[in-house]
Parts: sequence; structure tokens; C-alpha cells
Amino acid sequence: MGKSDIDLVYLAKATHDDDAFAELVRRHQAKLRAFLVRLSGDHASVDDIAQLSLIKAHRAIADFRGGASFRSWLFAIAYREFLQQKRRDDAVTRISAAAAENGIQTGPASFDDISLDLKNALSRLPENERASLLLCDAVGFTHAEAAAALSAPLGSVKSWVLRGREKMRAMLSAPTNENADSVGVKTSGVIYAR
Amino acid sequence: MRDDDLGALLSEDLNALAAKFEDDSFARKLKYRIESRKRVRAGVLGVVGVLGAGIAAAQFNRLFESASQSTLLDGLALQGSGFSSAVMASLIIATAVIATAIVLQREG
Repeated sequence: MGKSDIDLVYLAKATHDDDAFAELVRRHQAKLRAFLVRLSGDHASVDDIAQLSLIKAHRAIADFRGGASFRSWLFAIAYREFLQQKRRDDAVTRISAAAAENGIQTGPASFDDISLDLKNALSRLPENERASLLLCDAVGFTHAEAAAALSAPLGSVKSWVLRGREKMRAMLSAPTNENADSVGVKTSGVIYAR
Repeated sequence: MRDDDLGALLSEDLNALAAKFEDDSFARKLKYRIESRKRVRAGVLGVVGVLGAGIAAAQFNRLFESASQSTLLDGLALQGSGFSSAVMASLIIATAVIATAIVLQREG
């Protein structure tokens, strides 16, 4: 039977076993990067953020106390990195937003298997709702794990998930752009898949 | 649309995206990067170790002779350890070498 995450963490801490940490990376990197892609809506800088987060996790593994699951601890590091990166890229984001307002669809050219509806709806959620919804409904975190990963109170995460779901349902159910506008979604210039 | 349907949609999308990332070179590159510091450290330790071993080997005869003639070892040998002072000197040097090897192995 394979070792649990916690076994591997203790192995990495006690013996500085890089193979144990490499196994943790192998287990979690794909979902971590997928989460970051969907959170940011842009895959260009995701690998850098993920790499930086995992290197920080490797250096800080001795500080992992086991109060939360390893994956929520790892996602917390990645989320903080994402927020820092976002602040650094703020100027670029504003330019992209202005372009979107003018009817130019921005975003990644690849990893677009997701329907445009779902992608656009996700991108219109506030960041905390998008992150909570992705962690709980897509990655499969419990509310408590998501709260640890986002460094937010449990109650806030629960309400962000509920609000996020409501908005997503409304946006995805809206048959036309006019209906979408009625739930407060900006649709000008967005090309829908339907 | 029900909560379950939305959850399934999001989960399905994320899993499909994660599957693309599963077998790419990201994890391998990251492991290489994490281990690079260790490789540099091991290289430095290796160079220093070889230098130290060279110096120690050059001094070994003198070290062995002076340890063999040590009055402390003579005293221990006379007190009934059963070994001559030359054998005790060899044992002490061998112990030091083994202890260094164990420490280096753990560090590596």
C-alpha cells in the first residue's frame, strides 16, 4: 500500500528525502496547475507560479505542522503566490480588461477545452468566490480545507461557494446575453459557444 | 441546473485539464531544480573531501607513528585492553573515518 501524504511529509522532514517530496509533487502538481489555470484564466504564468510554490513548499516543509492536510497547505502557498503575481501584473490586467470591454476576447489560446460559457462565467465571479468554488466543487476540497488554503474563515468560504454556485447557475442557464445581463453579468463583446 | 450538475461540470473540466499536466515534464524539471542545490553542495564536499583525504594520506604515517607512541594509548594498552598501542591507534583512526562516512551519507 502506498504511503499517505502525511507519511511522505514526515519522511521528507525527518530524512530530507527528496524522493518523498518528489512523490508529493507528482501527486499534486497536475491539480494544482489546473486550479491555477482556471483561477487565473491564463496559463502563461501558471507553471512559474506552481514551480515557485512547490520550491517554497520544499524549503518550508519543516514548518508544516500537520494541522491541515498537505494539499490545503500546498494550495495555500500557491494561492498566496498567485495573489502576489496578480498584484505584480495589475497594470497588464487593467489593459486586458479594457480590451475585453472593447469587445476583444482575451485569454489563453490553449487549454480551452472548457466551454466558453463555463470559462466566461468563471471569469466573472469575484476572485474569492471563484477560488472557493474551484477548490470545493472542482478540486474536491472540503470547506475546511478550502478555508485553510484561502486563509479565510470557514463561514466566509461556505457563503462564497453558495454565492458562486448561484451566480454560475444563473449565468449558465441564461439563454441569451439579455438574460445574462439581468443577473448582472457583463456580456458585451463576449462570444458565446452556443 | 442543480448544484451536483455544476459540481460535476467543474470537476470534469478540472480533471481533464489536470490529466494533460499529469505526464508532462514539469515534475521532472522541478525535481532537478530542487536537487541542484544538493548537487552543488555534494560537489563542494567532494572536492574538499578529496583534498582532505590527500592531506590526511600524506600525513598518515606520521600520525600513525605518533599515535602508536602515545603514552595515553600505551597506558590503555597496559591496563589490559588486550591490544597493542599500534592496534588501538588503528582502531581510533578507523572509527573516525567510519563516523565521517556515516555523517556524509546522511548529509548526501
